[in-house]
Amino acid sequence: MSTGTKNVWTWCTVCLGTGILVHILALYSMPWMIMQYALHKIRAGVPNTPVVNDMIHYGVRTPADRDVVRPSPDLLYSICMYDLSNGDLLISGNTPKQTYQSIALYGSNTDNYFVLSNQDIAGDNYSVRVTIRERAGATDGATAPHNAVSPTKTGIVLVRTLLANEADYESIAAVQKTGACRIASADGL
Amino acid sequence: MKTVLFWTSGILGGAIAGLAATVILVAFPLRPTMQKGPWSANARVGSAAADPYLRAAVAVIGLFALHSKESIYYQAATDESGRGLRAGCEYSIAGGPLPAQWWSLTVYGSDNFLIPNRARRYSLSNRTITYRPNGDFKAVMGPRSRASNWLPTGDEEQAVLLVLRMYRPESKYVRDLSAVSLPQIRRITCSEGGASAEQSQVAGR
Repeated sequence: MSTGTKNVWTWCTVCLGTGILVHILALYSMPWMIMQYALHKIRAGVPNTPVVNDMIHYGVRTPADRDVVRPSPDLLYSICMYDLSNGDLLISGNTPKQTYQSIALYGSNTDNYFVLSNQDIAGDNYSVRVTIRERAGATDGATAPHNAVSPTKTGIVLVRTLLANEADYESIAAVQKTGACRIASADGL
Repeated sequence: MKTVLFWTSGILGGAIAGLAATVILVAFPLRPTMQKGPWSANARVGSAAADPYLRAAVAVIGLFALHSKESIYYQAATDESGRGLRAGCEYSIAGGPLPAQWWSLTVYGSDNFLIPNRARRYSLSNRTITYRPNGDFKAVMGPRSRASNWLPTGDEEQAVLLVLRMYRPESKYVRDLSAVSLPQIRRITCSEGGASAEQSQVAGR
């Protein structure tokens, strides 16, 4: 094989190898990057609030809301970005009567790994404890009726509360705003 | 100098090709696992079973989607005849009760956001739609105001997308997304011309 041909093959191999590497990196990091960008935009609309482990409540989505694509105008959203580095996360709140509500958990890769909806909840409130694989099974004294194991140390809690009629906004929003998330303390819930 | 150029061009060329391949493959519409008339859906959306391409596509056009046991997302970008849905056209959307705790029909603009309109209405749901005596419903999507069951598409001419959300669907439909009797989308009339025969039927309701 001549030196020229060898160089062409080497160049093609470098090009192909880099292309495959960049493709895989871009593909796997895209959901995370898009999620971070969306959360940055969401947070920008609510200044002076903790960045993580705190629930933020939003009103009815309108065309003016440009942070997350394809929002549902029928739902009131509450979001909590979590970081389980310093302990498990406790999510709690009241459940509205006769309307849909769900508590959905997403890993940092955007997978929806846990959902609890009002049909699964006995009573008029919910409580979910979120831990990571390394700590699953271990307890610090705190318990919750529902438990979830996050596939990643960071992620998102998204609570959806259905607002079927605008006339019910005040009462449904009042229930929505009881939703909270925080890191579990050693002395229980 | 020649060596630097050799390696730089190889790496740069590969990086550009790799990025371009990612954008092209992810930019394709969500590869549906189900297609029925104009409606399509993917049962793996939001789940751990999603492949990296689907996961990336969901992040782009449906961030924070729920998995199909909790919600099935059907989308339609065309009418029953395969013509692209346009904001300037009117469509009848007709169907029966849908097997879910609640469902909604939402229209989005070409940018995947809600469309501004004077009525400030962006969706119809099983809680807000008016049913006919036989339990079916018929709605109209378009720019012209209607007394009831109207899904406005605003003043700006653009391609639109209809999304049907079925929250807490009955379990047999989670296993077979195509078993649901989905609403039919038929063009009534279009500002670009070409009213269909159905116009008179809908106008009388």
